[in-house]
Amino acid sequence: MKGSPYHPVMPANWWLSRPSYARYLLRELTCVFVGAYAGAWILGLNALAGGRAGWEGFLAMMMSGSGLLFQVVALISVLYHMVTWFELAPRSMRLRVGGRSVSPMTVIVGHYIVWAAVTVAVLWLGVM
Amino acid sequence: MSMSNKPLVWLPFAAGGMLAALVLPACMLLVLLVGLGALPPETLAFERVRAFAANPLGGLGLFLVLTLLIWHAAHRFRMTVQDLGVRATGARRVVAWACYLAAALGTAVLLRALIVL
Repeated sequence: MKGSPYHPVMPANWWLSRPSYARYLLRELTCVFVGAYAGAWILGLNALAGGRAGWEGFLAMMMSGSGLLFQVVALISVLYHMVTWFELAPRSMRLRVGGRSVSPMTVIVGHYIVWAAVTVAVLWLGVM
Repeated sequence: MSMSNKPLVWLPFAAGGMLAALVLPACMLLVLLVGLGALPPETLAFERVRAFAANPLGGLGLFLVLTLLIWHAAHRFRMTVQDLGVRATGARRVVAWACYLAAALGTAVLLRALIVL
């Protein structure tokens, strides 16, 4: 496949040409906050391993004004990721029960039911 | 039919995406509610979080969730940078290396922290 003659022309602002393209880019960019939030917690656990002072420094940073703002923006972007991920679920998993395929809506609702159960469990375990 | 290694890459990517959708909002909410004062500050007290992370099951859970999340984010970010116009082979390679190196570094730091704990 050397020297393929076809070079598609893509302007850098392709994502502005249609609202659905912009939504696609927004959805993909939510990964920045997933990575940043998980990365913050890795640094937090690293601080935790260092002792009490490190952990309390990490918590003070997370609970400061800018830390809370970061958390709110990260939560909103992860919720957007969640909605779009569940929306795509019926297309990536075609379930069949007793020879009949499960309707896309059932697959999506099923994901939200599991999500609700996980959320209640995490919050309950967190404060227990 | 030729063999492809795509499924091997796709499995952790999909697992990370599923965790980011199913588990991450709840974890974020828990921490945020403590920060906003809706939950007691002792929820994230040093002894408590330490005991959780030092517990083999808790540590394994943290390792799996955080590792899959950062590798998911690294791969998705790499693809998005390509979508935004970085298409030359050399530049693509640099982006891929930077993304996966960051994820590998995160994995190493996390693993070391959990072993120390």
